[in-house]
Amino acid sequence: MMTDSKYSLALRITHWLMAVLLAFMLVSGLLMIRSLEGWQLNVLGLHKAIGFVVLGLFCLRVVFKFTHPANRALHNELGWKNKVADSVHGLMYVLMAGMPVTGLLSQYFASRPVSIFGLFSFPAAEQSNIILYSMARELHGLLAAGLIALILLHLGGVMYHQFIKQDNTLKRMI
Amino acid sequence: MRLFHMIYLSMLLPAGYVFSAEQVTAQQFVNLQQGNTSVAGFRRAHAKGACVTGYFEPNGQLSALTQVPIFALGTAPFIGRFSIAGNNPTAPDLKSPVRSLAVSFNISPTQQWRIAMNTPPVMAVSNPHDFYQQIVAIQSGPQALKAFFNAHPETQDFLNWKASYTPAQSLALERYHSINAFYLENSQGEKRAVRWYFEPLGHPMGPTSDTDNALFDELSARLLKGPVKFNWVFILSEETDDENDPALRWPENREHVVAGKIVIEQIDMGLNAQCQSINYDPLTLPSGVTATADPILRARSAAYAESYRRRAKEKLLEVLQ
Ligand code: HEM
Ligand code: HEM
Repeated sequence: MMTDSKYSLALRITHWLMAVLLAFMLVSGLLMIRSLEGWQLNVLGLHKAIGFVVLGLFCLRVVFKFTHPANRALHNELGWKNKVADSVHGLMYVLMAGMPVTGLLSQYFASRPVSIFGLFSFPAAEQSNIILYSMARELHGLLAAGLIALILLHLGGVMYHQFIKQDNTLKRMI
Repeated sequence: MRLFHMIYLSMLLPAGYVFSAEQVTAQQFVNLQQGNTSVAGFRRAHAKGACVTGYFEPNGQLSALTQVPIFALGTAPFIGRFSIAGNNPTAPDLKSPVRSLAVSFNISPTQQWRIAMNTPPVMAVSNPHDFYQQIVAIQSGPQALKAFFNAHPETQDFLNWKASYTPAQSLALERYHSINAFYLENSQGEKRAVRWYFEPLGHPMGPTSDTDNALFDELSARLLKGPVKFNWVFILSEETDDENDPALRWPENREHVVAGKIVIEQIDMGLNAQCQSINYDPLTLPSGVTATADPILRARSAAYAESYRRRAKEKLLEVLQ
């Protein structure tokens, strides 16, 4: 396989879909926990439902990752750079799953059912457990900060390829 | 490249928006409520309270208006909490101007209903930003509060109620109001804006003590003698009523429907009793009840979540230590 060949369509679509959805999730999350305005309740509902979609998409992406292996773009890169890229990617996968899972768990332990676009609802614990709620809620916040940091690193990597190495890494994903 | 940048830059914009807009945030609101004396692990508002359990016994009168199953026949258990307003978990009961009752119905694993009610039938103001200023005025003293009321004519219905209100000798003898309106929706999809209140059915039991726990002690003593009961009464709005303004009373002649009886059997004053783990966010609603656009109602979800998060974290740290 040629290293400049594009990523498979499946990987490209899930990548960009995920990029847009994660941007929405982070923005909506940070806004809604501060806002006392009328739209807060609607955005909270969307946040939970779309967060669930992210979890589904994540699973799909993991499947694609194994069924559509992509070649490493770095041609003759130093080993540590590969390691950094790999770690950032790996951690991003962990957080893409960790965010929705801690979100859902926080609601489960707060005994608050999560409605997915009114189609169906996730069951909640019969009795709220404030300690387990807190663990899930605080993790959700911490992981969100981690995800933002990783996205920035990821963007740094893109810039590096685009402007310093001037290779076609970005093109392969578009 | 453009697209890429735009997506990720858009993530930074909201932060700028939030900090530049002159809106009170949930964090600022809860900071104001908790003041400088919040007690770790306790609610930032209505900190003093006790858990109760009981059940709702419907009479079927409301089931044409909503599909919530607890209004059909049968009984529905709930976990409730009586409280007084304020950030102090050991405040003297009789000093608080507002008394409260919250109830949580665990209808099914996917249907929960949380309700938090207060003694006044209306709010003094119509939106959370004015409410914030009202609390600032309360904390600044009677002069400031008077000036606040003068500058806010919408406080009239609240002031009229206040002038006519005498606190009851017992938490069991107060009337507790939803204040905010909600829509009931039936299985035909018909919606009706309603408010509701719990109407006490008990009788005075002689004078209350004047100790710091006067009201909660009285309630415990009363419950030893038998259950405490309320009628659950719904007020049905008409076309001309504004369901989005919690400061406006609807006319007296609106149809009132008694939906059944609330029966409270047990009290648990324990600090780790089950209700203390519950966030009584009134926007936790089952199918068949939906939120109106009332700005005060809409503001409650984020504020309750912030207070819940703070006290939950304190409890977690306590356990970890
Ligand atoms: C990729 C998925 C997700 C992302 C990136 C995300 C992101 C965020 C962020 C950034 C916050 C603000 C956190 C803070 O500053 O502490 C937040 C809060 C929250 N999220 Fe998520 N979230 C995701 C999925 C979910 C899911 C699936 C649910 C629930 C079903 C959920 C429920 C919540 C709740 C309840 C809050 C806090 C509301 C509050 O305490 O006021 N999230 N989320
Ligand atoms: C903008 C308006 C309001 C704000 C910001 C607000 C804020 C809060 C907060 C932060 C708590 C503590 C939550 C917790 O830690 O679990 C609380 C509790 C409570 N609020 Fe409000 N509130 C508002 C309006 C109302 C109204 C209109 C009512 C009555 C109809 C009400 C009744 C109660 C009651 C009864 C509790 C105690 C519930 C319990 O026992 O856990 N609040 N409020």
